[in-house]
Amino acid sequence: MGNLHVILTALFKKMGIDYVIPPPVTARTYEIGFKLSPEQVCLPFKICIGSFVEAIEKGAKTIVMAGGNGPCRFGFYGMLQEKILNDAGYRFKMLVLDQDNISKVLNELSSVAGLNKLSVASAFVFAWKILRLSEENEKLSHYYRAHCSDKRAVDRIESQVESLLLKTTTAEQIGKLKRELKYYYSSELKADIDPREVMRIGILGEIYMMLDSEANMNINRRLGYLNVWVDKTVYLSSWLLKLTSLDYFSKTSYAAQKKTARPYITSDIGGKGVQTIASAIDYSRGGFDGLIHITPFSCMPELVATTILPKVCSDRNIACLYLTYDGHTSEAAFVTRLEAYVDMIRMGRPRAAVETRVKKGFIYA
Amino acid sequence: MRETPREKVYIGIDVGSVSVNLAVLGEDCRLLKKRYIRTNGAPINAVKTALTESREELERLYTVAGAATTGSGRHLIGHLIGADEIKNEITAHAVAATHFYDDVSTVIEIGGQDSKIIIIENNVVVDFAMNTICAAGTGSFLDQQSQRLGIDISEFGDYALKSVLPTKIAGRCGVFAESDMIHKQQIGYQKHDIIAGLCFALVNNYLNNVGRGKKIKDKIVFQGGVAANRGIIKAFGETLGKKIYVAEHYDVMGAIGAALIAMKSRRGRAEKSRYKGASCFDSDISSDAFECGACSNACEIISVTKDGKRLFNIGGRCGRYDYKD
Repeated sequence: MGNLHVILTALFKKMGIDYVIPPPVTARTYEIGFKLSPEQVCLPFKICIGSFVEAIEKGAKTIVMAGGNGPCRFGFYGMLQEKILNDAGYRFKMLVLDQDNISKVLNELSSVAGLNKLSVASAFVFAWKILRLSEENEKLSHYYRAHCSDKRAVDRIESQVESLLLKTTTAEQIGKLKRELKYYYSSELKADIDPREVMRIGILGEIYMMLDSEANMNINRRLGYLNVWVDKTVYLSSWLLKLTSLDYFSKTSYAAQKKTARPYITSDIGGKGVQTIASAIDYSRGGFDGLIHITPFSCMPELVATTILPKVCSDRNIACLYLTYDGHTSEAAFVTRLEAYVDMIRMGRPRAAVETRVKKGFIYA
Repeated sequence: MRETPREKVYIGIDVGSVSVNLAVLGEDCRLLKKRYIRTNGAPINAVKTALTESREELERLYTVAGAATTGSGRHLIGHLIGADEIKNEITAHAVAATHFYDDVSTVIEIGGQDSKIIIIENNVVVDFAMNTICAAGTGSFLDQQSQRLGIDISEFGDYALKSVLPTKIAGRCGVFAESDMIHKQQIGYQKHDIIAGLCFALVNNYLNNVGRGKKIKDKIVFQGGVAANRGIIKAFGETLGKKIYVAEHYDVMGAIGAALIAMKSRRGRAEKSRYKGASCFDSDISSDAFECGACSNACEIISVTKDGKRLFNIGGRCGRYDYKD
């Protein structure tokens, strides 16, 4: 799932646990996932099943799956997947990680690795730093892809940094990467596109679709090719903070977002539903040109959100494109929608607003 | 004798799933020529036919100052003919609609495989939607049903108008609709009542799926191949309770939009258009697909060749086979 493998690789490497990275999500992953999963379940479930099978084929003996106790179906996925895969004849051990059992699972992991609590904690800190760097890298690529005409060079640099991160093992290397990260981009690329041509679009919706670029058909990249500077509501780190309630005092904490969304929704609808509404409001305040809502077909919380969003958007005068994914591979229709949406925003936004914004400049967040 | 300077024209080609449409516009936006050709599964051939037919006239009278492609086959054809602009069909249709109708607020476009709704305010697109659930409400489905009933598609709409009491047909899904139609025919309904019922079912399907949540306001412009069907126009009018304006050149509006886009981007530019003209079909053009084996995605790559020499590739997620001119 997105850059989850980056943080887990760093974590397991530090803890001395032998790990298998599932191969990248491909057409084959989809095929396996669709064959083994119930038809009505959402796309992330199916992709996970496919990835698990591919990891088991590569020799994985234990699967760590995230869980959660929100009122979305996701909470049951770990158990259900274990049962489905067992029935299909795969033998492995499943560890479901959620808010309630996180310490138990960690104990189990440290006993597997034969480490004391302190080294486990330091492994976590290390993995966390890697994750933040990986996200920083992604955000930089969003910025440069929108502002440079040589899009393929941005893709190249992004994946180079990503592979450097996977190889990083020491704190010194992290420090060096952290200092030089911006330089990797700025030394090779020039922001040569007229800032008036660049648009700022926020992507919101279901977390898995947001994080996994294969699942969302590389929406970040494709928008970047159209000179769109993308921001995503959820990054893995912010999700982890939210999961562990460590972001309690931050502006993006669940409590704060519930407050933002209150004029439109008062009850907790599970998943990322409330956050979706709240971030739509935040984006419209932040001077964004448009929103794109992405969700897997049959996702209940996001379905509720899609019925509320049009009201939010018309109240706040911001456009939103709704994309539903269900594992179809026809890219033509997808690209047509993106292009048309970007055209629409580009033609529709008032020139004066663009000028003032360019003059003020966006602060790189 | 001095040769009078030839008029500059702009070409728009809409490479759709069912038809390839060609529009030639003059500097003053006059429509000089239009062609509507069935794709029959071979877009390259259809474009070739369209361009070679009008070649003599185009080369004798005009200078092509710009060309643009749109439609689902826009990338393939655009790279082949050297289009200056390659634009999505939603933008193209909106540009054409606002060109002909100043005060348009809703564009209903139903083509061969997809249907769209475009909401316009002050000549600018503010919202749009395309069909996602199925193709039940589109031209292909009508084509198929008219064949099953043994009626020529061009007479389909007139049949529907004969009906006084259209029968109820379920329109949510093409399969349901068809089984409903067969049921009605077997219990003795007249053909024209069934056809009129189908028209209403398709309109309801469109309004509930594509038009869901959209405010459909006057003026409503109907375009795309299905706008030829008078039964559908009537059903739209009665269901919405509003007047439906059918664009004069409804069948080639996408192509007109593309030509207008080409004109806008090319006008006043000194450098020559990239357009290669019909002459690019003089040699043998063919396209071939192969599966890339570099990873398990197994992307399909389309390779276009000219006299056996590779022109360019299309497809693939990673850029390994990017366009090469």
